[in-house]
Amino acid sequence: MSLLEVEGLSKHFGGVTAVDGCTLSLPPGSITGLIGPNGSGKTTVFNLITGFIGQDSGDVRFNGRSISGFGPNRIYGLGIGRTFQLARIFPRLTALENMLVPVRRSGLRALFSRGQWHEERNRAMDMLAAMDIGHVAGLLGGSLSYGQRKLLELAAVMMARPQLVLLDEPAGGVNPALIERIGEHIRELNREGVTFLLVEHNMPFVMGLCQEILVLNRGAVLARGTPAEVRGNAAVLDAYLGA
Amino acid sequence: MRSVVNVRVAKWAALVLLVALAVSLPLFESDPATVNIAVFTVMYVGLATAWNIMGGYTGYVSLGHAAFFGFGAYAFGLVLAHLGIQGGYEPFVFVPIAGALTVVLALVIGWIALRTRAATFVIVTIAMMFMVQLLAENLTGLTGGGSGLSFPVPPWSGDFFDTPFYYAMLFMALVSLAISWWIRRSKFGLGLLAIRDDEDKALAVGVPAHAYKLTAFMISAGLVGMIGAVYGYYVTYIYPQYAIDPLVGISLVLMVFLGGLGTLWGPVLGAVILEPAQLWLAYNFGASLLYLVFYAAVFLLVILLLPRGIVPSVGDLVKRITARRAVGPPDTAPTTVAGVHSP
Repeated sequence: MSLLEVEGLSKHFGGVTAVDGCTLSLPPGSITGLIGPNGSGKTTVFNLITGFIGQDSGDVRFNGRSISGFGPNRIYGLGIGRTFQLARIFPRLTALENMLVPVRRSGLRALFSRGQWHEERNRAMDMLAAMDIGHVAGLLGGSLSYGQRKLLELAAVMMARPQLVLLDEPAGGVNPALIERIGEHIRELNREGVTFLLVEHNMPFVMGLCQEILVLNRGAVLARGTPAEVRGNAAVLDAYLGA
Repeated sequence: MRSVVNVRVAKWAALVLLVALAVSLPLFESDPATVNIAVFTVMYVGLATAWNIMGGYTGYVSLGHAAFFGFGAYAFGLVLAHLGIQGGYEPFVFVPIAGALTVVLALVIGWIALRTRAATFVIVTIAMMFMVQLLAENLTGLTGGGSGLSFPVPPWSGDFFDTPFYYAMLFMALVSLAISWWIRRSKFGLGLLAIRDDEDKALAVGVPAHAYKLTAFMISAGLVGMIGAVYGYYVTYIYPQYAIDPLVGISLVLMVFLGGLGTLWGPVLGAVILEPAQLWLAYNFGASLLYLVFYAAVFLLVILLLPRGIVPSVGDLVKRITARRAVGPPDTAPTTVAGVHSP
């Protein structure tokens, strides 16, 4: 069974059709790349799946259950995390506090008790150390470098142990050495069982990381296959380079 | 480690001293005029602290909190009249009822207003305040309209009259501070600060932003409503345009901005500086509107010189000085302890 199934998803903004009958499914434990020319609807698909905008038609199912119409915080609670195109962190919270915001607690009493529980804090510190940014735990998010913010955003989204994480341009705007490291972290998390769907323009990065690539064009999936298959697909080359 | 413990002991000692000083004030200062200033100052400490729970932690600037202040006063007056409570200490027991009623009003107003963000929210809160004021003016059967609503008069002598109200206001200020402190270090408070920084990002990592904002709004309004209740009883006669005064709402915001938005002690400091200054101007220059010019000047100075307020600016200065001292040679980078940052 697929972890995530998107069926006939469509979204119009005024007269513009951003997503047009998009259908895709992600097997659990996979890393899937979503590529396509600018304006092909990749980020809109992310926003639809994570509940930031509502679709006009179609359905999104997670673990076999329809999550259409759910709000973003509820969808995160079900186990779908996401990062944003330009790394978004909380600038006036410390890196450690950034890590603790996503942690879920149940019950009102837990909500109104201390913001930092020992086990949560220890897990956050371990996760920061695993991302090689343990040394910035006490610094404000706003004082971190862009690369550190990227790593922090990825680390923080993992705090609630999501099953599926959508990454919007994880390699965007960072230097080649860091791109390498981010790729390593994604592989490591994937080995631990996390499923990934990522939007990315850096072709060597996507091709090296993903088992399957989906090509989006004008809001619909134009082609899908292994990196090698997609690279040789004439329709894909056409969409990217123009006829 | 030792210095961390010492700082904590010093902080507690300072807090205990401050509270002791506030509690004993009427003992060595019996001039009713001075106690009257103290009553209003402590009232604004509580109001600014309560406002900060919403405006500071969550970043949603409400200019309509005067509605909750006035509503609390009216609700309290009506409850006392309905129950036939006589003047004295007994009415204070019923202040929480006014608070609860204000929370219900905040639930209704917040439910609507919190669908908007930023400047739109500010404007919606102003509109809501004027609606509450209009209702107070026009529901004459309930509120007495323009002729006002009277409270039971306590049987206390003029020399003593202000003292019980001083303690009631001080109690409310301490309750507000305790709640503000508690929220700031709680998981809930962390969610509020996350909403302040980036609401969409907070949603994306599971913070139920609408419920959080609404809860903060209701807590903030409930405290303001209870303080308004004590105020109504203190002045014994309330009118729509004074009980629901836009300038009260603006004063709160100014105090919090001056002291430090989103900090625990900023609102206290702002209130302690501005309220006596305003009363001093009012006493010395009559009922002129000079204090409005003064407020405008303070607002300008804060924006130009202390955009973050006194507490964060001074806090940074102290940190820089101590870091320089602790580190010694300037070529060593100052280190920050994990998880520690000034409130």
